[in-house]
Amino acid sequence: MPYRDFSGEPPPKRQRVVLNDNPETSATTLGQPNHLPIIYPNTFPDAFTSQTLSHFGQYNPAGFIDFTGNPNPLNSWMTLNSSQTGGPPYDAWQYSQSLISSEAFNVHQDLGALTNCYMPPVASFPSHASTEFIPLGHSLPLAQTMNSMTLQMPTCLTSNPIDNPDVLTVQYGAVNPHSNGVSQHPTIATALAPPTIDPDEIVCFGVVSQPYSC
Amino acid sequence: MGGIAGKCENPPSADTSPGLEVTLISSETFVINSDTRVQGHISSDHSFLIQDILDSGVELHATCILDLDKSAAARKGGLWPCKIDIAIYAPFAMFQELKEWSEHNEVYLQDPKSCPKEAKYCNPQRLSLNFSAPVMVSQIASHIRKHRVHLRDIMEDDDLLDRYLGSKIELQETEQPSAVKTALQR
Repeated sequence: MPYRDFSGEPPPKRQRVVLNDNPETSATTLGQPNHLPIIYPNTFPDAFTSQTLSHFGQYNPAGFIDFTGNPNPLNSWMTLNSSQTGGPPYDAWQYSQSLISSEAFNVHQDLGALTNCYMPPVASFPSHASTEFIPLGHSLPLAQTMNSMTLQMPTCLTSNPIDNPDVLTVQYGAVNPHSNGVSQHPTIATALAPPTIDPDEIVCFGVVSQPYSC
Repeated sequence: MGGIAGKCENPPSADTSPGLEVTLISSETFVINSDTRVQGHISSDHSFLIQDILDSGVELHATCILDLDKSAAARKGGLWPCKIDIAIYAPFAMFQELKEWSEHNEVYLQDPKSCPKEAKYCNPQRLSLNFSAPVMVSQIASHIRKHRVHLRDIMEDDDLLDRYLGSKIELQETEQPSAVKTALQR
């Protein structure tokens, strides 16, 4: 595509998307000329929640999630768009894993907890909103919607402790003398672990002093 | 915190530093090795403790340290107040047994101030010891001599603590034991 210099002429007519249902802060923006292609920061309190639950009404767990086809809705957690895509719902185990993921617990998970419906920490970007208008480096909460809607599974959950032994054990060979599989600081482990002294060797155990009470 | 309290008959000489090597005859008496005619007496409060040690069959190296700070008035009947340091030497296999015994009897096992016999030092109460690279008794004794702290008893009407607490003297802190020192990792 040939480079086109827009200097000296108005930018092309583009669609501006405002993901905010608050009539006081949002405007009719489709087709307005001479506007840079940006997405406005939502100033409405809890705007992200607002747009999520109302603009994308199908995400509202209170009344829009369709449990049709889910044999046991109490034990399953509907994804945001599982009713759209027909993808399998997340089960209770996946939901519990998501709770200990590195993602911050946000309003979506909170809602999920209140309604027995899982709302993952990120929402898929609506298909009807073009991503080409998202400026680079935008730090709005809406930028989260760029992420694909997938469960964030920490890598540690998929690894076996045996496959990944403790660093101290690898580096220092520290072994817990209690044999409970927990590695200790090498110095402490050395102090408590059976040393390399011959049991028959005469050693000095110290000098007897007066009992505590004296 | 010193050794076991006792009293000693007239010692052969006033030069008793670092101490007179003695032999425990019983749980309440000892004799000075250089002159067995000189006897000493251990406080009856600790006789049960000494008897336990004697009965265990461990090797003991006792040192009598005269308390030269005590006034002549304290030397009643020609007996010098003293402290008996009893160093316990035993096979390393008795490590756990000694540890439990000292805890049960609430006895401190302190570092030796002298080295009556060279051996590895394995004080079960001292966490800072690294048994994978054990130190010798002579090293410990040498270290203590270099960093010697003068101890004295605090009497009821003693204002020692008041003088220190009321002053701005900065007391030197001891080094943190390596066993509990948290190493910062990059």
